Amino acid sequence: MTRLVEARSVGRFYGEVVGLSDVTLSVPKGVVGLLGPNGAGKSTFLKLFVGELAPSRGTLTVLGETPFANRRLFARLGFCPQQDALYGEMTGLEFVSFLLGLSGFSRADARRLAVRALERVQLDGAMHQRTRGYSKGMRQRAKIAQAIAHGPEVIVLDEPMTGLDPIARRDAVQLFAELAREGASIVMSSHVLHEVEALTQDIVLLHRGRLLAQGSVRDVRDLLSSHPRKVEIHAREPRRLARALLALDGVASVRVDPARGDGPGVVRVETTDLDLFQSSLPRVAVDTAAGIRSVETPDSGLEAVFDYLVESST
Amino acid sequence: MRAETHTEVYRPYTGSSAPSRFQFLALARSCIRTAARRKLPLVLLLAPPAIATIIYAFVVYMGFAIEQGAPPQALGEGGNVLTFLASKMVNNTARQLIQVRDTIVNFHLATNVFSLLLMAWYGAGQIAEDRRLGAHLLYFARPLTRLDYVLAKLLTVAFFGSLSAVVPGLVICVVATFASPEWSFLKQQWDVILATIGFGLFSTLVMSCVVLAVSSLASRRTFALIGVFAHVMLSGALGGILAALQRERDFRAIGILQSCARVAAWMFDIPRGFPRFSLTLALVSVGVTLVLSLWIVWSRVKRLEVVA
Repeated sequence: MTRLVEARSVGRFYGEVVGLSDVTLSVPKGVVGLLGPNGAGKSTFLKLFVGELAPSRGTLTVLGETPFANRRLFARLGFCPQQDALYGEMTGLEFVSFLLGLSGFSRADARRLAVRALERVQLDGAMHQRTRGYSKGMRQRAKIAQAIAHGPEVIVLDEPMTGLDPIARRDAVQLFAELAREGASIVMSSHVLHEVEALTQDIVLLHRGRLLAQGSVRDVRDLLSSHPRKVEIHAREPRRLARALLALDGVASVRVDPARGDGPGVVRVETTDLDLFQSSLPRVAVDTAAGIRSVETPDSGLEAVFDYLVESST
Repeated sequence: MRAETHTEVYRPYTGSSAPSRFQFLALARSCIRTAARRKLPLVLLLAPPAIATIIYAFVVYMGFAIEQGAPPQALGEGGNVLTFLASKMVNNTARQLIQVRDTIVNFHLATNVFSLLLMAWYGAGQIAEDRRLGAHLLYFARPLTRLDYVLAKLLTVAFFGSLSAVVPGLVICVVATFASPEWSFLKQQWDVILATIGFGLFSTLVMSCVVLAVSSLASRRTFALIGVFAHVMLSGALGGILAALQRERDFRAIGILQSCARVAAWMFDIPRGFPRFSLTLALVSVGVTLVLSLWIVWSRVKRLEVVA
């Protein structure tokens, strides 16, 4: 099956500045989050993805085709750049129609598709206003509209949540999720990690132009076997539980915060084998009768994975 | 963006788009439309050439009317003293300006500053603003090559330049054609029409390239606007100063507007009223400016994504 993107030793240099270095990855179709701090190479990667840049070295294919200057592929992609990119003199409708016209659509088709897309991003009420008067969020939605207007197979979104208020962010995530359900593949870069996590568990993590990790958040986390995972257990008898847990394989450390008042105490465990720990915990709970109230793994989120990886690479 | 409320409206497009070879025309059309939204500067900058066109067309019309020995119809029927005196005064002036080629060249000289203003005003932001806004990222993610992009931008600037440099000259030629007895202008001075179109396009092309080159180098439209005028004025001033200091008129070829005027004198074959320096140097100066400008534009457009 054709992969969404395949990169082999891809590098992109801006003179002496490294935009991307030796990136090798293979991503299946679906939704993928592109993560990394500023200057990580996310935008460079997306520009390579949509064919605006040619790699300085290595090979990159999108949907099985080389993207750079590939007119046939452009029709299958929709790109929402991070930059503002709107002419203030144009109305929202003109903006989207004009870009569809550049894609080769007739005027009538371009207008029809533009209206649909603007309706979909809930900008239909302002589509006849000049974009000069748009708020940041409206401008962002207009850009998203032009990216989805022609029903592309792949939608590439560079920081699409920037400038959106919390409700609009939630709606945007819903929109992207729905597009994904309709069969579109989505590549989304973002700094807001929990928003990526709300949309997908598949991530590509870049840092300083290099590929840091790729795969599901869980898989990536599991690869970090050298870094112990944290587990917080709220229990009525924390000391008794802690003693039993210390005997388990893979448990690196146990810390106890004793109960205060009527509340439970907390046992903070660090384990190098989370699966083994989780499978052993029920037995320990029964044996010790420690009165476990809740079990949490606070560092299983994307934020923690991101932090671990970035910290370990610096 | 509550997408679920619009699922009945939105369906992915299943047809096919057909990018043409002339995609740049779509971009140029949109750029012109967008730029023309700023109506006040358009009116202000087009008003002087428009007024000059009317005046010069009137002079040409009167010149031919005199040539035919009839009082100009525009002054009304003859008969009273006032009309007679008025026609006498106008006739005296018109006799001096009866040559259409002189009129058109004079027109170019009178309005070339406005042509430049028009091109600079509407062209300065063409690439600079795209870079600032990142609009080119949207263009190049579509079936639009960098050559298309450059052509579209060049066409946009040239369109506004031609409003002042080509169209008025053509209007004067049309008036001359219809006012001349038995189409004598068309039959005997057809080369003036060609020279009018040729020089109008030539000057528009040269100045468009200069404006775009400066625009591609600037980070903002305002800077580009300043840069265009700095280039034109400084090159002219430098040429003039060197010519005065060295007592060598050929130095005036450094000035781009002066060189264009020299080329105009050659194209219209008019010896008087123009800077008399080497035509070859003027052509070299214009050629170098043109090639350099195009090279700058092309290299900057190729590197657009780097600075975004």
